[in-house]
Amino acid sequence: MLADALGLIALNGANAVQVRTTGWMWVLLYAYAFQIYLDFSGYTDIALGLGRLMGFKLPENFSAPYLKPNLTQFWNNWHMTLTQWFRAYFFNPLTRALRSAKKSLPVPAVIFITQLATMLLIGLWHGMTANFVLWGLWHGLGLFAHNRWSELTRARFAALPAAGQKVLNVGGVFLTFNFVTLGWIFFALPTPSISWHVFTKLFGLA
Amino acid sequence: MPAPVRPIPVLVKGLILFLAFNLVFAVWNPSSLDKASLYNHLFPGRERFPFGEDPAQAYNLSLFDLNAMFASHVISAGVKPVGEYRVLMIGDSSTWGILLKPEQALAGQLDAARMQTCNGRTVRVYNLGYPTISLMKDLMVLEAATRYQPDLIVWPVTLEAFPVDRQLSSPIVANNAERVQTLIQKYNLDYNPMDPAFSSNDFWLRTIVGQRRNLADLFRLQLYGVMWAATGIDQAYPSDYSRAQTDLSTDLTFDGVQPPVLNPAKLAFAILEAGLRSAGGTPVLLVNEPMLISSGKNSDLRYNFYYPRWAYDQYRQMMADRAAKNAWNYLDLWNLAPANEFTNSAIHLTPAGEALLAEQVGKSILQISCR
Repeated sequence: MLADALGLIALNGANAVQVRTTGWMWVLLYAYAFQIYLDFSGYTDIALGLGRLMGFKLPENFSAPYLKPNLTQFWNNWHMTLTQWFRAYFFNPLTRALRSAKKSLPVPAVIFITQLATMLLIGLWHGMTANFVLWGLWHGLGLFAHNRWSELTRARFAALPAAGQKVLNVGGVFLTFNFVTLGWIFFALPTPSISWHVFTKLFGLA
Repeated sequence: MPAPVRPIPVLVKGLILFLAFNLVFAVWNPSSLDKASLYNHLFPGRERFPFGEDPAQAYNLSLFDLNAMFASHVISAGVKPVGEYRVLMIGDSSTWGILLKPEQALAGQLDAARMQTCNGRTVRVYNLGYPTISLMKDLMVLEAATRYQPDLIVWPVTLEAFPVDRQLSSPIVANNAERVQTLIQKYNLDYNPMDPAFSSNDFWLRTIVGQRRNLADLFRLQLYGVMWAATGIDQAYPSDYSRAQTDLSTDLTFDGVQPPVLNPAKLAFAILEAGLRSAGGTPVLLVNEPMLISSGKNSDLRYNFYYPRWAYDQYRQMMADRAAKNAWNYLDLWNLAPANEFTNSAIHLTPAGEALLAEQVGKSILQISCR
């Protein structure tokens, strides 16, 4: 019900070029972010419930993904059945293959290739369009950036007091949610040119 | 370990709560609910009433709740400013502005002109048109609009709004039974307050279940406020549409009446006069709307899709006679616009056609304001 209501105001290919101001563009984009989450996790819950009624215990598919403090955790909690499948049948085998190759690549390069390739495939799984490729790239690059950042800062952040950890966590949730939300632009819209228009509008450049 | 859920008590409790909420809602009958609006607070007020047959594209929808319609309109934004000469424009789809942006419609063009009255007040014009051709609907809107302190009411009309037997059939009239019944009694109009055209308003229809459509519309109207604020769009604008018909039929009847006499008793002049009384001391400018005058096939018999010539000519004469007799402020602009300035109907003008109309109506507004 909530998703359908948000659907009336969520970003789409038609309204993306009609919005006049930066503020309202953000409103429409956030509406889309919540619409897709409530819609998808809602009907997954219906499937889980129906399964339970029939005696099947199906795997969870979402676990508060928008409250995760980084992109890696987001993908561990968003559409979990899909990501687990790609992890098991593509990401892990590819990582093993690259690491056991005769001329082994440096670890960051392996991470870069595997994450980017996995997210590109997940993008293409949603549809064979340029925008799904861009969406996959967005997340692949995001995951790699998070991986490197986390390597660099892990020791320093671990030494922070509890209050500092809390601030870091809240900041992480905010950044991750907004990164994912900006990524939805590619997912919601049909073409890169409309997506670019939305990005420029969101940041006051159009 | 949590106690196991017992489904029967849960269902019974749920049912009791459901019934209780419905009964309380029906008894309470929260009449102020539809006056609460996010428009004019969170979103700018709409420049014309909510109306839309394609909500997904128009970001607008049709509803029958007049309070909600007014609450979403910019007319409800705060008190009337000092120095404003307030003009309320009621009427049908041509006032509302089918295929026109709010600023292209008659009220929008007149408002943008920011005319000054002779005593220095600024003329502000509000579009209170609604796309249904019915004088009873106009009277209903006018009656509700008088609380907004108008200095002048502009009322464009056309013959199609006059047939007596069509006054109660438009959905917005039929779904506002109480309002219209009050008008019938107040102005002693010759209609049956219990006419079957009116939607029933029994107890069960006042429950949440009975009101579910109205409540959903009210909720959707608020949501579409986001899109109105974000885009300024309140109507779907097709890139192409069928132009108003210019090749006409040979049918000479109007509203089932054969020539040669249009019986005035079959026209709702009583409602028009009730509207003039309803305005109280506020002057009303009646405008006979411009219409397409065809030069196509059978145009010697008919002016356009709506009107055979004989019927329309007699209607114009009746209006002119009544205006002269009763000293109405009356503008007969029936032939003001050339045929190419009409869009998808014989009464829907292009922006340029509206500009022609605005020029004439604007002059009359200034004349009346300076009396």
